[in-house]
Amino acid sequence: METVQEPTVPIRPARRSSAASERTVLIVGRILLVVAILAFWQFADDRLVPDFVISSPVNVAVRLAHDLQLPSIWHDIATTSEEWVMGYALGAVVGIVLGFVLGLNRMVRGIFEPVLSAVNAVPKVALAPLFLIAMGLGPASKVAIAAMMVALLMFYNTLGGILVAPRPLVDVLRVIGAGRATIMRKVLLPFLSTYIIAGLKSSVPLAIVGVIVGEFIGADAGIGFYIRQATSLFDSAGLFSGVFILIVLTLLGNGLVQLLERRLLRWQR
Amino acid sequence: MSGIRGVAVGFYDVKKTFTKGRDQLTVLDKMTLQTEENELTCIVGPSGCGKSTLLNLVAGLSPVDAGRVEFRGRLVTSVNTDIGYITQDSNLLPWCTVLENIQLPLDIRHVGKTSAARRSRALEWIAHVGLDGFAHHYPHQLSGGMQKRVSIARTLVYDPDVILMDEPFGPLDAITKMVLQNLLLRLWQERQKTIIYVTHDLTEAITLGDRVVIMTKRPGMVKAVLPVNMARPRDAFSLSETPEYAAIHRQFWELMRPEVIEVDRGRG
Repeated sequence: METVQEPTVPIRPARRSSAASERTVLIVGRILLVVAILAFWQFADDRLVPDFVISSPVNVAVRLAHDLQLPSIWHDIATTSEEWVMGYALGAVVGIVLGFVLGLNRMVRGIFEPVLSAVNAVPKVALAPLFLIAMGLGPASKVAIAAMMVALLMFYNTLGGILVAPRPLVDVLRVIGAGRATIMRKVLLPFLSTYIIAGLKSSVPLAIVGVIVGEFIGADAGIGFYIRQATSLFDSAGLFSGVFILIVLTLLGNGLVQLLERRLLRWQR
Repeated sequence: MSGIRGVAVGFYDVKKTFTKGRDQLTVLDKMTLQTEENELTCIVGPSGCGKSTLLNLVAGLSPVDAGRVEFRGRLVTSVNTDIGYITQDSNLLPWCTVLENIQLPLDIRHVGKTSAARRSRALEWIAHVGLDGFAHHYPHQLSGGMQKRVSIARTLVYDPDVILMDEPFGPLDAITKMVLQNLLLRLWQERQKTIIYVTHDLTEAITLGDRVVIMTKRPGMVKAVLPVNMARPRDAFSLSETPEYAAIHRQFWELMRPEVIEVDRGRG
């Protein structure tokens, strides 16, 4: 390292400390915002809005602390998580495979695409009751609803990626002598990973929506069932407890997909 | 340089038409040309005259509509893996490092017995094109000129006898362009492979080529084939200052000017 004369005006340290202080302001600001919202919520309870509508942070916290000691809520969490993970995985596999089949075969695409577009145009939630009629009140119907929603999303993401895959890269590899399998492994799959990861990310909350909708319509366990029970009793603290659990579950799911993303998309950074 | 050489690539009465909706665009018509083995042939012409299409035909990436294209006396009917193709865009795999990009053709073509041998050969080529220390960088971390070096190394590493180059230095700044032209001149001098080099830049064509093919405006055909009688090794930085260069450039430009000017007018 070369020696540099100490500048009389400490420009760099000043800049560094301003960057650090900017970060401090950011963190403190965020905390203050959350505290302000919670404080206002606490204040508004029974003063501006009746308690049975919005409950209060303290009530929700107490309720959550209490319920988390019951075995029933853990059963609900396990039920929802299982339905969620299974629906997500099933939907992702079906959607990706379907995307590849249609993306790589123009004829099959021409035949199937109009029907799939029509299905995609239907609000998926509206089809949910159908699954309950067909598959009953157990977990199967929830898995199916979530899988359908995830599959359509993953299908369109995969297909969209295949359709814009860079032709020149494929041509360069063909001239080099690569066969179909190599082109798939070296060009198509890495290129699609961006699209597939994006789909997998959006699918995390989407699958939860599918499961919860199913549980709202009819179930005997699950967080959706827990929330609906609380709702029928005008128990808003219970309702918020359920919502809070769903937020935690979604964040967990997002975290897992982010780990996957960091591994697969290393080349982008 | 003299001696009996073979024909590397032959175009015979080639016609190529592109269809876009209802529009039909004939880019090549009655195109006939033969290029020699072990020569660096430059093809110049106005933009849109079908120069790049010529290379795609040789590579077998697109079929002719009439006539025929022969590669070493054999009709080109499918993808031609006996060539190296350096395209206008570097077309590197963004998810592979410099080393992985350069090693890929060796893996695909099973050149070298072991993966370690292929790796060390790829590393040699990284050094040949002046990229020491960048083996583990990803393409997006490199400048345009460096990406170009990688794409040159990726092609030369598997030692194809015939190399097609499509305006490889087109989008680069003037200095980088000359540096890379010198790199190419040096590599060619060492190996004397057959190169077919497409460009719209007459200066570049004269600097690099043994022979310059001037094409007409669209639909493209050969207007003239001219030898470049200038000694090698050449230096891209100083060549254009010599009187021989000036004379050759004047002569070639007289032939090329009408083609370029009319394209200009047609576009205005």
